[in-house]
Amino acid sequence: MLEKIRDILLDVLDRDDLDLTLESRPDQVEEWDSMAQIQILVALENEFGIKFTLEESQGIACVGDIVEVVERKMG
Amino acid sequence: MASDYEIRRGTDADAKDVVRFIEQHWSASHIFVEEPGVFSYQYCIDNAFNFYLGRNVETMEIEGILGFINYDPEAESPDIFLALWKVIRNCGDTSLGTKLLSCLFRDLSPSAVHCNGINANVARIYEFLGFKVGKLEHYFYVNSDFQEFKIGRFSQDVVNSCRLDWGSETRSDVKYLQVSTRESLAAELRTITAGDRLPTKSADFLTYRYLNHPYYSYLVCSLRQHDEAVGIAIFRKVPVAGRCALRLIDYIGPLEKFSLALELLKELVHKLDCEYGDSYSTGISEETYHSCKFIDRLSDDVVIVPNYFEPFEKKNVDIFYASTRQDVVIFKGDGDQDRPNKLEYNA
Repeated sequence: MLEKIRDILLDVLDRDDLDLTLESRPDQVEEWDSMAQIQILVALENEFGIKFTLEESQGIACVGDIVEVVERKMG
Repeated sequence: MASDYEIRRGTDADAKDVVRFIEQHWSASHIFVEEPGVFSYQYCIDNAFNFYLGRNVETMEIEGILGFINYDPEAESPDIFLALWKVIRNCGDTSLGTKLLSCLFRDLSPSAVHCNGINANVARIYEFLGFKVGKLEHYFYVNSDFQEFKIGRFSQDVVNSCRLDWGSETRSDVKYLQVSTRESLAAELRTITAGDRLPTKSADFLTYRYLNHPYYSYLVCSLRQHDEAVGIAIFRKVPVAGRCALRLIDYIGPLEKFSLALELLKELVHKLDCEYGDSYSTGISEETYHSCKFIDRLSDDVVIVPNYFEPFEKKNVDIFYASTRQDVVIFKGDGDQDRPNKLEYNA
């Protein structure tokens, strides 16, 4: 799961040199702005067949938060 | 570290900072920067400042703004149009933009939220948020009294098709009354059954928006059938290089009476000696336009029906919109799509 999410992040951010960990945050990656955040969430929705709520999207502060929400929604 | 933000409805005291934000992060030549009066007219209304903003609590600098237009501030659940939604690129919270929107939803309890004139990037955000995103249709009618055209570009076939129509029908049961005061507008609105797919605009809002606009002169007409008002149509005559075009800017009323607005537009195009009349909208059927002999701008490759006049650009322009309503009806004048861009063109 983490591997798949990391691939999606790297693809959206158009960076293959990032060493993303669960603690990685948007403010540490120049390309990870609000627009990229939406693109990431849309890509995850398409990949995993899930739908983020607005509250869930606003609660994401790091890669670990994304993994936690996706895992919870995947049951 | 991610940053913390103070997110709230702005007040008059924030206005200068919001204008500076627009200057720094949008455009230094934006009309809201160059003409404070236009900014005040759009967003400082009856002691209300229609912006939400996010200030970085460490620097107290504004890093995100969300402007809006409230169609009925007295209503419990008004229709809201968003206008000017921007977050700086290196903002410390990638959700600041949507948090501004959440704040608006919480405070204003809108019945629906719309935006007229969105770009492709922002469209993705609206789609993620569950808004319907689409493109306004653009129809026009050419005044065939003209031999050549300076504002628009039309094929001879198009001109001929309009020539065949003009004067072919007259309806004795329909009359038009120009409205120029709030009282007469309110009186006309009393007998009009508002279409439930149209955003609800109060008489006060319509007065502020169209009758008392400080820079544009709108022609506000009551459409009367059997001596009773059935709709309101709003037009604006746009001058370019000694010629004029007439634009249908807004319509209030049931959709089944919208064709009366189109018929009046055709009549006024001739009376006011305009090259053509045009109408941007969504939610109006193709049949309605076609039955009034209006032509889809996309139906002919040669056709150009300009949208930018300040300065004038002879090119076609698509207008995209977003709405929480799936079946919304939107016109050119909704949101901030029909506002001055440069005052020198309105002297």
